[in-house]
Amino acid sequence: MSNPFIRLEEVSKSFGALTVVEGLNLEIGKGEFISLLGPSGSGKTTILMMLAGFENPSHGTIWAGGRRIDCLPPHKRNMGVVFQNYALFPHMSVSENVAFPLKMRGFSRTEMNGRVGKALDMVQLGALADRRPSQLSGGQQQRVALARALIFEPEVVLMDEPLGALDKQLREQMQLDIRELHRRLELTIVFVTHDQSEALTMSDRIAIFNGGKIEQIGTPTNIYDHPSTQFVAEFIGETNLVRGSVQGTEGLTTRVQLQSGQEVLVELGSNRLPKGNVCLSIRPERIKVGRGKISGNIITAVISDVVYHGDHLRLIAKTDGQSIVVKTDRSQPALSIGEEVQLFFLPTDCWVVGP
Amino acid sequence: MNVLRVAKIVFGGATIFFLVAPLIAILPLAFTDSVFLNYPIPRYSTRWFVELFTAGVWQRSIVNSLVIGSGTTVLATVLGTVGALGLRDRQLSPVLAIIKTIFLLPMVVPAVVLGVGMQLMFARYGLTNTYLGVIIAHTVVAVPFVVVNVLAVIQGIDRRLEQAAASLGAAPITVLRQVTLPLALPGIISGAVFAFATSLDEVVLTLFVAGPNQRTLARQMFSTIRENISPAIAAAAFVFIVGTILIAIVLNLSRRTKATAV
Repeated sequence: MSNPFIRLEEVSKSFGALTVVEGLNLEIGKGEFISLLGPSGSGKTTILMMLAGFENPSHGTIWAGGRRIDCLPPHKRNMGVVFQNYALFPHMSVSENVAFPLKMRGFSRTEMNGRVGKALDMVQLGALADRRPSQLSGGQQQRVALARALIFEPEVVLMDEPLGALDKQLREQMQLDIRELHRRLELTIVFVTHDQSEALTMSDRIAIFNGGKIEQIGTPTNIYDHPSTQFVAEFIGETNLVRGSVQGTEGLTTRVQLQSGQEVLVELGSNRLPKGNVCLSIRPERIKVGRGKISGNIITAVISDVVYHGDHLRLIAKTDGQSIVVKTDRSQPALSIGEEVQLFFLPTDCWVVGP
Repeated sequence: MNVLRVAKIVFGGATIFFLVAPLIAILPLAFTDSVFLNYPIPRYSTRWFVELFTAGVWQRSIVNSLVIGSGTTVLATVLGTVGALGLRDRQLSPVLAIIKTIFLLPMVVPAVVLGVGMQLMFARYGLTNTYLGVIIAHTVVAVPFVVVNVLAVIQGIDRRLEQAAASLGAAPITVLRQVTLPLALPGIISGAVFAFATSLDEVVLTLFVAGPNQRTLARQMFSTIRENISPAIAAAAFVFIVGTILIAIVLNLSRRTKATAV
């Protein structure tokens, strides 16, 4: 990144003997929406806490807007934080909560009232200004928390699983709302989540964490289509991992023999030429089922289960002990268990994720 | 099922009776006309209340109790709250755990032991027979109540509220003033009420450190009982109990506000 807004350099954090973040380097651009995604205990929340100033790194430095911030206390960092449990002050009304950061900055009463009104309108809560947080629903509380974190126009907004406690429908609505706010206010957002679909739908870039390190960082498309490791392939979306050994290469196309003896072609589209034993990732929705002769890679398999999901069908096919999941739409002619089918997919639809 | 329910009611009723029977026995005597603390009551009158509020020694002891109680409440509440803030971390380090035990020690150490120690020490610093001395002595036994009450509330405060306040621009002292203390208020109020109540009925330490000028209501009752068993002490007990009921109401109200706040 030519001119990153936030830069973490060789940041590590240990609690006693336990190292939670190890030698992390990360750059975040101004106006970027970056998601930190990973299983619990992968260090993503610790990074957010270090950005906010609630934790200090054991090693390394953190820069934001050209100033070194890792030694600054939280109240001098000018970052808005949205917590999973909202962290609204229970002894203050909604408008007092939202006015709090302005009060801390010594705004005049009239200016405060104007800004609070605007901020509450922005999250459509103008009518509830005098309520207590305990009188609001979860979604409303989360919107108050958002308004409170945005009203002082912070340089960065940090969000720690902000939608984790909401039900599915509300969560999806809030995802859209936050994305819209991000675009409109040109916010820099660091968003921690363990929900991969949330990260895919909302982010400009995703950093996948595993064991205190970044496993892969890139755009959602890049990460979904070209996972660099087996962990990423399995963590983001659903995938089939198939093992085989490289037989030879012609141009950009590599021939891989699967354990079942069947041979498939893999086209990586770059100069990456795999050798030896490889692990292939094939997304279930990229595989088609046919009974006739079709071009591309063909694997013969036997249907072992058909699962109905409403908008799509999920087929479990077995080939030589290996299960392959196929996602098909419902226009697929009916298949029965035990039937032999041919699964086909393009050489560009499989991806090498490791040895 | 029905038997169990009846048994519960009977048992509950018996327990309550066991707890309040002594009060029931003494309270009517506050309204006796006789000069003896004795049943049967010949005629009802309020003469002992008049005595309580007009006789010099009783009057003084009531004023003393209020002065010493207020002083103790202020001192113990401030010290106990600050102490609780320091002890708040759930994962107590061994040192903090020891300090916490020391804070609570006056609750379990016999008052006589404390009293002897205080008398020796206060004599050295010229604090015996002074209001300050009595207030300090009462504060020692009242602080644990404040610590326990404040700690119970403060440990329930979500740290993230304070983190949120800090991230929104509040300096640590502002976080304490605007977030932590308001949320701890119900605990601070109950602590203060307990401190006042402790001071009000403390007798043993008062015997050791107070002079004739600091005679408190409880101390006065104690000596009245020994010298002449006058129904005035029943009247004093009545005042005590009404006071206690008022205190309980205050406590309940503060808990109520806490429940609605969180």
